[in-house]
Amino acid sequence: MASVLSLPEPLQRFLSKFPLHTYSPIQVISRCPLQKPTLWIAPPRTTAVDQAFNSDILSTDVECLKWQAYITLRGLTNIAVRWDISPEGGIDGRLPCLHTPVFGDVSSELLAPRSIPGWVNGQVGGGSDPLNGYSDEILKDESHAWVSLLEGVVHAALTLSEPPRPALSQLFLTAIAGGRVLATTLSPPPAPLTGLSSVLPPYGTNITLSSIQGQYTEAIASLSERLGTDNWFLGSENPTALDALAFAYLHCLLYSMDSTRIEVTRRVNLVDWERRVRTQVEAAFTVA
Amino acid sequence: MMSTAATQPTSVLCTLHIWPSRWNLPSIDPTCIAAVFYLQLTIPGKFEVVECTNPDVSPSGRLPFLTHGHATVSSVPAIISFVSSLAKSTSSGARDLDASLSALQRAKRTAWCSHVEANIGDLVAYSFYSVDDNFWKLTNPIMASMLPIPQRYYVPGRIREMYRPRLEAAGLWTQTASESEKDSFGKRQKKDDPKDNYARAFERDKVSALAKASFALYAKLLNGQKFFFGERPTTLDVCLASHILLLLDPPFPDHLMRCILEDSYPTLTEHARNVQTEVSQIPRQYLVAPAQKQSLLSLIPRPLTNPPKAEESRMDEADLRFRRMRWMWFALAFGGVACYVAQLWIKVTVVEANRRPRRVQRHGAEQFKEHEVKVTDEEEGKEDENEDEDASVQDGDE
Repeated sequence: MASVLSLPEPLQRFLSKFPLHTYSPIQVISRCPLQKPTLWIAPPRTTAVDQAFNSDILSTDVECLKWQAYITLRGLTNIAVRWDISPEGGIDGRLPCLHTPVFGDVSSELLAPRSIPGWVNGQVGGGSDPLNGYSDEILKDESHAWVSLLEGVVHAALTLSEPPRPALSQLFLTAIAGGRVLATTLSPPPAPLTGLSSVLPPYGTNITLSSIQGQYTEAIASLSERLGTDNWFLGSENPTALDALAFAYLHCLLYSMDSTRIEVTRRVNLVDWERRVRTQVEAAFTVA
Repeated sequence: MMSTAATQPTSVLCTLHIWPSRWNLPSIDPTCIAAVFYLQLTIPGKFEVVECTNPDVSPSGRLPFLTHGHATVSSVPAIISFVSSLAKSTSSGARDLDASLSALQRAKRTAWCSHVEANIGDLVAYSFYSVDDNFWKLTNPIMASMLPIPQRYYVPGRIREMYRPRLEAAGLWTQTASESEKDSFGKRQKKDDPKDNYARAFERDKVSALAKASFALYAKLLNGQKFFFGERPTTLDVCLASHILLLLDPPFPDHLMRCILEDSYPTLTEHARNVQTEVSQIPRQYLVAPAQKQSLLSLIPRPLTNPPKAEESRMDEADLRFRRMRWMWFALAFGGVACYVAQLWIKVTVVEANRRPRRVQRHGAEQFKEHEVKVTDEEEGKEDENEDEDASVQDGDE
């Protein structure tokens, strides 16, 4: 093709004055190459009270903590965590992300949350169980219901129990971001604060913790009743994804406002279960 | 039932405010239908239904909400909890729909009800608000016919926008729904683009897969039984049936969900009809009050309007007497303050008036003194001049 089409000579002479140089790619030399898989998470709590319980390793974000628990409960240990990266630096602008080291021919890569189960299956094997760790098909179906409950009213109660920000600008940000979260969490979605019929554009979200307190209380009571004296939810022999999700929410609720925390502390089996799983999860991670 | 001062609160009629009825269903909203079914199964004939088109009068800004005496309860779980508490009182005559369930079954029921509201609720919202044809040819006209001017021009769109974040997160917000927002007010321009047809086909397949996955769970849970927990309907049956009926009965232009249910999951259709039949067979039916007219106050944003007040006609004599006495107390208090202020003002005025003659006398005395001072000064001035003249004459003589 190049032999058929050729530039006119005057143009070639002109372009020869601007030669194109191609440089070889620059290899980025890392001062601290990744030694072990590192999970990027939202920062943990760093209060003095929490240090007594060594909670510096567990994220304050439910989503990040859920994946920390999932990785641990699948049997993996010696995983590093770092929280110096903002969510905008993660895949799809959110955390967590899993940074895997170079392993043989496999290069280092950054994994989004949806790819973490596949990576874990590659590390510990498994992933071919059609029941996903549940005892039977009925319990596997029931797990969907409990996931809906946790990601619905329990998540909404946790969001509403977060303490207000001091700065006015952060208050507005929290109102907008929190309203968006609640609009996607609750079904049916909450009405706007200014109402639907007013002539002004809708603003805010008409939802308070007291309005869902009854549902939240019932949800925690149901969770406690379903766990009973079992080691894992739904009577599974081994931990499942539902256990990881339940642990994330229970742990965050135990550090929330009194009105939401008390409902969990009233259920001794939930507190004991959370403590047992927390010990296991904390032991699996180290600070990067 | 008429209430008197001597009646107990449980004998006061419950009033349920819901979206109006259509298509031979109690309401156009699944939560409103669930509330009606639940009340009819637990307190048959002891409640009335008021068709309401202004959700802003509800404390939560959403319908349904229930009023019972001075109590106002909003959202279906709160209404269920309230009626269940009535059932604990034997004099109320209320029935607990889940009385036969064990503690473990109740826990499962709670989880499954949450799943119904989340997943099946999303499918109902998809059918009403996400599908362009359904929204513009059914939902919008129906809601506009219920609403007064000017709400009929913007409330249906606002409700659609209210559901949008959740449907987007669930992957049920269609591409055509996003594009139709760019069109002019109330009208849309249909574009026959082959790319849009492919996109719609893929979206339809994705929605169909999500719907089938959700319906399959309930079909397996039902397992050929009439109801989920035996021969009597429970809260879970009511919750699911209210959503399924709104996927079956409305005349959607795009009836994807009805086709899936009737073709692949007839057990769920039969279950919904069983619940509907169970409710309709109860002898004592509820009263339906006409829709309340909206006032111009509904145009004012919600936090600026007064909260809804209880109807005075339903208040007891004791309440009326208490209100009269309260107003009388306020009147006496303000009257006393006004009298005190008036008395004080009168005193000040009198004091001011008494001070004026003394001031005149003092002013007159001061003027007299000034006159005397001037006169003495003038006399002294003359004496000085005389002394000076004498002095100069003496000097001249010398």
